Amino acid sequence: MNAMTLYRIGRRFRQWGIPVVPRLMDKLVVVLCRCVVPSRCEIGEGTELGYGGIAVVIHERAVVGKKVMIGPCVTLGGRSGIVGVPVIGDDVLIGTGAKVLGDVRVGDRAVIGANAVVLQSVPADAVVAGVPAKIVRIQVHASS
Amino acid sequence: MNPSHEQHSLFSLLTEDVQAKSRWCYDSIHWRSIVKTLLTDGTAAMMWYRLMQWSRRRRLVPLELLFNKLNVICCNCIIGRGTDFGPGLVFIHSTGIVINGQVRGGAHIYLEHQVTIGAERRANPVLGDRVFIGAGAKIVGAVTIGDDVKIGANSVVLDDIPSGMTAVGVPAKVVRVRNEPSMVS
Ligand SMILES: CC(C)(COP(=O)(O)OP(=O)(O)OC[C@H]1O[C@@H](n2cnc3c(N)ncnc32)[C@H](O)[C@@H]1OP(=O)(O)O)[C@@H](O)C(=O)NCCC(=O)NCCS
Repeated sequence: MNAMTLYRIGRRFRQWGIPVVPRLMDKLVVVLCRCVVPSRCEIGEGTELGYGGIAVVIHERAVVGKKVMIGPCVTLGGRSGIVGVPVIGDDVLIGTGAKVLGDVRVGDRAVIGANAVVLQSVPADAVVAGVPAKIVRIQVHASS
Repeated sequence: MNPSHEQHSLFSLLTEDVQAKSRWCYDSIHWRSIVKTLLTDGTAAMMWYRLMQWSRRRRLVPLELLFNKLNVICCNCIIGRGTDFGPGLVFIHSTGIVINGQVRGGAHIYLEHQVTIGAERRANPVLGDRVFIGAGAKIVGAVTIGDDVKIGANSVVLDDIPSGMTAVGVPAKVVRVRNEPSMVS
């Protein structure tokens, strides 16, 4: 069973206000898919977890936009002493092993490099990489 | 540093671990927080580890092997059989944790997911007390981590970190000395 499918089922039941099922789905995601994608967090349509989302951890207050590609071992989580959690835009690509921590916003179409540690907000269309992550370049899209 | 933790009973180690996690996650050890803590991801792995440590001390080899495998199968967490941590070991999440069997650690160590603590040329890290290790960090080789240390997410630690420091980056460098009160009292 795919983690995203289980998440969507749990999320739907949570929205309908039906108890138990969301919690059950949360546990199933952990046990079957080896990742943490709680039904409390908000994930837009078309978003996918690469390689079944192995070892992905998403904070329960995090918000992820539409058509985001999340690589394996990615963490969208809190940072010690900071209450805010990441808000990810649409069409973002998050490379394997990247950690996005604390009160940061990642703009639409941004790309986050493998193993990057993102501690500051990322503007739309930016490519960031490194520990801590820095802007490598701003992509120019044909449409914009 | 690096004392032997033989004097603690299995029960006291388990309670200390769960209470430490409850304090970390909910700032309380009220029974409700304890129940919530027991249900969180990572707690099962902490318990399998303690059972494995206990079986090893009693020289119950089959049980030791069983608990080791259960941790791999149920929690995606590979902890060498000889790994020795003091009371108050907390896994905030357990997925992808790998720890070599010769690693020694003090009391109150907090690990996030995907942390690797392992050998380089057969030498292993030694950890002090009250150490926090962020998600995805790797500590390898003959390094000594002092007390009250924080290690940032995705850092790669190859050199010693003195007590009271925060280290981040690849390779990890000390970014600041912490003068705030230690994170666990
Ligand atoms: C390392 C950590 C504990 C530092 O916390 P802190 O002591 O409050 O230190 P600060 O946040 O003030 O950071 C100090 C400096 O290190 C940098 N830094 C912090 N974490 C970093 C990391 N993981 N990688 C690279 N640099 C980092 C900060 O940008 C800051 O640099 P500056 O002084 O140039 O601005 C924290 O940032 C961290 O990485 N926590 C891990 C959280 C985690 O794993 N969450 C998963 C939740 S599911």
